[in-house]
Amino acid sequence: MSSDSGAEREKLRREKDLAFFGAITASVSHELNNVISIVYQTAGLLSDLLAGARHGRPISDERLEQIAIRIGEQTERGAAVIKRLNAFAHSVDQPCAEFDVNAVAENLITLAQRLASLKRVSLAAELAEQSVLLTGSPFGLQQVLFATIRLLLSQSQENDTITISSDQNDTGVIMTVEGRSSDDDRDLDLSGLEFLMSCMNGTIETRTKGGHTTLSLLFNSSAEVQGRQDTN
Amino acid sequence: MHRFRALLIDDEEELVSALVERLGYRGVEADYALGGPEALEKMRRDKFDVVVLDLKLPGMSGEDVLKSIKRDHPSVPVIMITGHGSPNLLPEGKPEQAFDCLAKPINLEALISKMKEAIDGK
Repeated sequence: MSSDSGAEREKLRREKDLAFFGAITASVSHELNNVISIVYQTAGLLSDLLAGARHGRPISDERLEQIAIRIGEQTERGAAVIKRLNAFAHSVDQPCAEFDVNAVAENLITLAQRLASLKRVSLAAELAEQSVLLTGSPFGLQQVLFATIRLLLSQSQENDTITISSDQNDTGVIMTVEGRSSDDDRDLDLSGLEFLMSCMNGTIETRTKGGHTTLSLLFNSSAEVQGRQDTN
Repeated sequence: MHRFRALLIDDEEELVSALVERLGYRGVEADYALGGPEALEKMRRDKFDVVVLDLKLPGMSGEDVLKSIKRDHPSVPVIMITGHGSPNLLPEGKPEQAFDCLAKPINLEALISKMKEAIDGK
């Protein structure tokens, strides 16, 4: 590989890394904004009710309790979102490490659910019960998984489900993502995903049958990650 | 200004229900819908003077809801609300048919002022 094409490849990889990071953080910020909006308006409602009480419009204990519960639930929702974002953000701490694919995938699937929900599509995680260990980039794994989910989302319809599963054999780790096929049987453009998989030293297999497309992401057990070097 | 009726459209029910109640305490009659189809059905049945519409809705998008409203009720102004930090940061700018765009979290007094401005301006 010439130094020019190597530099271009590196540039493309960094652009895709940033785009992925931006997509996830934008989605999280929208959800947190909704949480804050609900808490803000609920607190405002409480002020309105208290003002009303001072002018002879009493508030029931049940109403106060309902408002307190709502604020508590939204705060818990926000805390859960922040926890997931924190796990995602820290997935870049180590460019190459041994990690549990299931734990990383589960976090990413939850983060991606909001985007799927905008199309009224559900993401179902059917991950292996035992830990599935991979040596590689946790960030890279999430990136390819997200790209795969987005590909299948592009041909999903309302009320569809995209199923993500994991498995491990002697040669490596397999993540399978299954969803609806396109109506006109056109092939998915896998070029972007293939590039990301090459950065993970992995390959893709595609199968279309009975109106479903299955993308299998194959990672070698001890994949050395190409091009993801610690630049610190 | 005479009393007016507002329709709020957002999939976060706890948000819109609180806004509707608070608007009621300020003399604004309001209702809410959790998505585009429900909103369009309510607008077929009842008259609204202004609509407040979330840009990001599941299923039928905020932009598509806006287009449908302007097609079926061209005189009703629509104020968009967005979770972007600022409406200026929207990738494609404020939707053309929207009267204006406000960022969440919304200040209630600012929303009422904007609704009055939209109704006066049509």
